[in-house]
Amino acid sequence: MNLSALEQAFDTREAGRAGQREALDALIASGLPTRKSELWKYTKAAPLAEFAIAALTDPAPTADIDAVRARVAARIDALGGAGRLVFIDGALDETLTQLPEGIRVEAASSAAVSATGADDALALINAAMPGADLTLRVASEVAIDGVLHVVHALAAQSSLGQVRLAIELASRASLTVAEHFADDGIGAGMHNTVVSVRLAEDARLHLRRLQALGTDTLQVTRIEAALADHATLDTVTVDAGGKTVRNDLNVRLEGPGARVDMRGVYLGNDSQHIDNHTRVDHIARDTVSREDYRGILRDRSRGVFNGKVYVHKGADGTDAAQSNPNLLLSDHAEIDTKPELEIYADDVKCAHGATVGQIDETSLFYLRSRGIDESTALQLLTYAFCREVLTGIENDALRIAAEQLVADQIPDFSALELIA
Amino acid sequence: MALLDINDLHARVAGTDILKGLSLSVNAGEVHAIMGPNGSGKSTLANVLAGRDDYEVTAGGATLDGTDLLDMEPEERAHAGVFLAFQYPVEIPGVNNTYLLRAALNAVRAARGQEEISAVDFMKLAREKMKAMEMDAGFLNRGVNEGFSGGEKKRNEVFQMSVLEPRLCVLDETDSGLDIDALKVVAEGVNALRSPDRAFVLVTHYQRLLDYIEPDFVHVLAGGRIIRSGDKSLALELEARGYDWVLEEAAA
Repeated sequence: MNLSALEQAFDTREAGRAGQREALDALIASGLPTRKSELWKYTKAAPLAEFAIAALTDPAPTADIDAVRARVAARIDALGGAGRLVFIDGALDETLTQLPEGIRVEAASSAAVSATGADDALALINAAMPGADLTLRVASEVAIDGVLHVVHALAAQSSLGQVRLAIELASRASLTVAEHFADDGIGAGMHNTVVSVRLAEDARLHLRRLQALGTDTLQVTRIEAALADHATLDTVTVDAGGKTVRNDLNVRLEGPGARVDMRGVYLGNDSQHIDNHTRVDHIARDTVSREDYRGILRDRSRGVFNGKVYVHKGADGTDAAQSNPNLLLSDHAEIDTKPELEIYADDVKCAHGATVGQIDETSLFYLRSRGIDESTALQLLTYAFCREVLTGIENDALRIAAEQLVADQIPDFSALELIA
Repeated sequence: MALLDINDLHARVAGTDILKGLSLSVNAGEVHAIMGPNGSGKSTLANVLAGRDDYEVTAGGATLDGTDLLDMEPEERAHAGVFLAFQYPVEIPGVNNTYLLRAALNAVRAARGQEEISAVDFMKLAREKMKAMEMDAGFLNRGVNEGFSGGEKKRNEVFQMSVLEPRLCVLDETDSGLDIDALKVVAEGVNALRSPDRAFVLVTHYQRLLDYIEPDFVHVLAGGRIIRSGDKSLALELEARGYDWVLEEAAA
């Protein structure tokens, strides 16, 4: 595709942030990834890039911002929590944003991604073009109670929300962040976000992502995390919508004893396409990673899971476990799952497993033999399949919201009260 | 009319004929023990009665109160009062034990023309029945059979049975894998349910269970047919002499 339109759009803007021009040059130099790229084998990058570029070069007409705020507020008011950051079309909305004590927000360029080539094209677009660019800092020893909600909203059809967010926790700080993606039915739109996480010694970050976009909206997310000694990162991601969804989660365990827990559930209906790429680099000794991503695919939907665990030389005592079970509930649904292990250290424990199956017949019979009708029993077992991922969300209000998202993706689900 | 009437039942699993002309009549108030060597078709009988669909009935029939049982879906059989205590109860993490049981009870009550039980009344009932089964009330908050030991799963089956009050209780090797204390608790649970309106079909490999649940009839199932029927003394004789003499006499 022709990237010159992007360059033109760039040149007509005011001077941007540091790094924008470099990102654009890198993008133009490398072009967009093709299907020959291992990282973009199953998900086409071009339509995602084209949508983003079109939204930048030919922006959607300005929407009535008060109406948009009212719509977004109605959706998020029930969330409660410690505070919220609201982005509308990628711009920080100061009217709806409420920050808790203890979190410092700076306009920053520290989120600049270490983009290296064509595989990062969407991250380069994010870095080159407009969008909020903020750093959240929590000082040493500070524990933020409750959830900081980060709400990504779109104003109108064809809107693009590009956000760069850096989250930096100093030693022994702790924070829970929940990102929410929804489009309130505005029609085709796109989110393209990059989050970079830096956790100092013994810092703890819980990162949750609840995605319930309409089936016309595109989503690209990228999380790059680096963990120092004994820092812990715990992620739960729920994909219950979107037309094409691509999530990259890359975690570097740089300090001894650092640990990451990654959980995800993706539910595809119709012709949805949901792609999760994760990579964990075990760089230091005695680092731990746990991964459990579960997929439920119906109709003509397609899921992609690629989980790479890379154990570097010297990362002795690494303990890595990964699992990716999938339920295929239609003959036309598809899952491409690929666990990858590369190990260059000694005394390493690594386990991985991917499964693809249907609803367990014995469980189904058990429920029916207790008088539960077949359709309810099927819904229950479908729900129960991904339930374990959701129990990883310790905040009750957030977990209930996630459970509802999952239940909403199971056709005619009416048995939420049967859930453990 | 018999509560359960099985007539010349033939059934196959995965292309292999297992039941080959089984007939059995069970009246309300009776306890029938079905014994027999491994592979004789005992568990197949239990599963066919409950409606498991990988078991294909090829001939014969079974009625409950005169109604064709085999034509009903598993849930319809449950509504009509059939309960199968599983040989291997399934763990279903994510589906709550308590809520499942309440939904099951309400489904059965609806079929009987009764009103839904309130949450408060249900919890009262459940706690009372759990106590009788010597189960910790903590099990109510768990997933179905999630993390239960073998003995706890079997107790949970009988607990469910005591709450649902079925008319026909089919127990598929409920005694297997139980230590003597758990066996007594399970047997007491079954005995407490004995009533003139209710019948039991106990599938068991060992006579041991029948020391605690006294059967009215004992049947030997072999090669897919009942080859001998008697009273409880037959079970004792099988315990003492094994199955071979019955098989030989039947073959003669």
